[in-house]
Amino acid sequence: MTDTTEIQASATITAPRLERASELELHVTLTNTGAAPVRLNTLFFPYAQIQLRVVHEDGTPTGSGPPPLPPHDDGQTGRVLFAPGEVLRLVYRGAQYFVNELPPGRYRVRFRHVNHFADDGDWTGEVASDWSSFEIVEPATITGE
Amino acid sequence: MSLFRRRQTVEAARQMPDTPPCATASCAAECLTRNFRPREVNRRISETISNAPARYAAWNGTYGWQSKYMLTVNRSTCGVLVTMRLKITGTITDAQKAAWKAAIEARWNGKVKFVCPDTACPGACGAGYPVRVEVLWVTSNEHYVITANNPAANEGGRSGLGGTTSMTGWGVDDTVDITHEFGHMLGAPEEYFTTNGIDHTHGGTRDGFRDAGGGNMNNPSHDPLPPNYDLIRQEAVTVLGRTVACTTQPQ
Repeated sequence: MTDTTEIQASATITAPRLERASELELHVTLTNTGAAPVRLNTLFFPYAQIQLRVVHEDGTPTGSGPPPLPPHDDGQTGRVLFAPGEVLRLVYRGAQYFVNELPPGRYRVRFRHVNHFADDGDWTGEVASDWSSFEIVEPATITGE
Repeated sequence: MSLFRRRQTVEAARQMPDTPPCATASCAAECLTRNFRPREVNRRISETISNAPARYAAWNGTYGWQSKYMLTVNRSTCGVLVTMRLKITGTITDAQKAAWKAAIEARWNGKVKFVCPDTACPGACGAGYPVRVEVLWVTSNEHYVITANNPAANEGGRSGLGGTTSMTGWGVDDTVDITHEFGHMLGAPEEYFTTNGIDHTHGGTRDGFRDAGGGNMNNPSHDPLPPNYDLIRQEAVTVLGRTVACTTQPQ
């Protein structure tokens, strides 16, 4: 977990052994651990290619599909007032990130949100979850799980 | 058909380059009317985005995907057809599917033709091969699986604007951004911010995305530009053979 003064992120994978990367499900929790509310820009949170990074076990990126066409950011849309102690939960699915299925192997994924644009009064900084490991296995090798 | 008669008909076809060679009753040499075996294209695409404005810095990075479709080149009809087999997961109505298909085909069809002189077959489709795309909904043997995103069923605001979140995550009511995502399937890279070293802000004089003067890969409200068909053109040359060179021209 990358610790910031105000926001912390954690992530868990529902099923870490999968036959298809598209079935990956990552649950992300953002928590305002600070004492004051922050204005958080969530406009890009829907976009897995922007918010997630997936790498092979050795750290080389797997690559995602192309990023979505960015929406116009008017400085208001997608902003939430994130109160102290409040929790924001997000769910990402592999089908949102991968255009092509991954070959069998071990991988890691993490959520990362970075904002250094201060003009809109949004929270600025970087918050990332720890890397979560998962494995793509040959079809029909998952039994009784 | 006698050799003399065959030469006559071939010569007649050469004199009428704007006419598909078999539009007339007498069909000449086999090369003039040849229908090539459909080609399954599967090509690696990579793009690097840089210099995104501070608001969009998260877009900077290198991305990759496979461009996949079936390409058919016919000289009997003088046409290039891209067939995209798409399988849908999620909830969507027949009307929404029909709207997706209509939007994509209207945006990408009838915009360009490939002019491909063939030194080994003079006169073949001299007026060019109009390029057409066709979306087929399938339940197997798909090129891509499309996830139908329903904005009404968003999770914490996660459905995105219009519901389209990626090349294969389409908003059920979106008929604009999906045409851009379809362009990626055809192998077209982004044309916004700086992509692959090309500055689409034109020196900072434009926003660099969704611009009034941008083509579909910059602004999906607009038609594609001829270069957006480049990879299809390259694949068409592969189908037509080494004696052919193609250029893309507005139709």
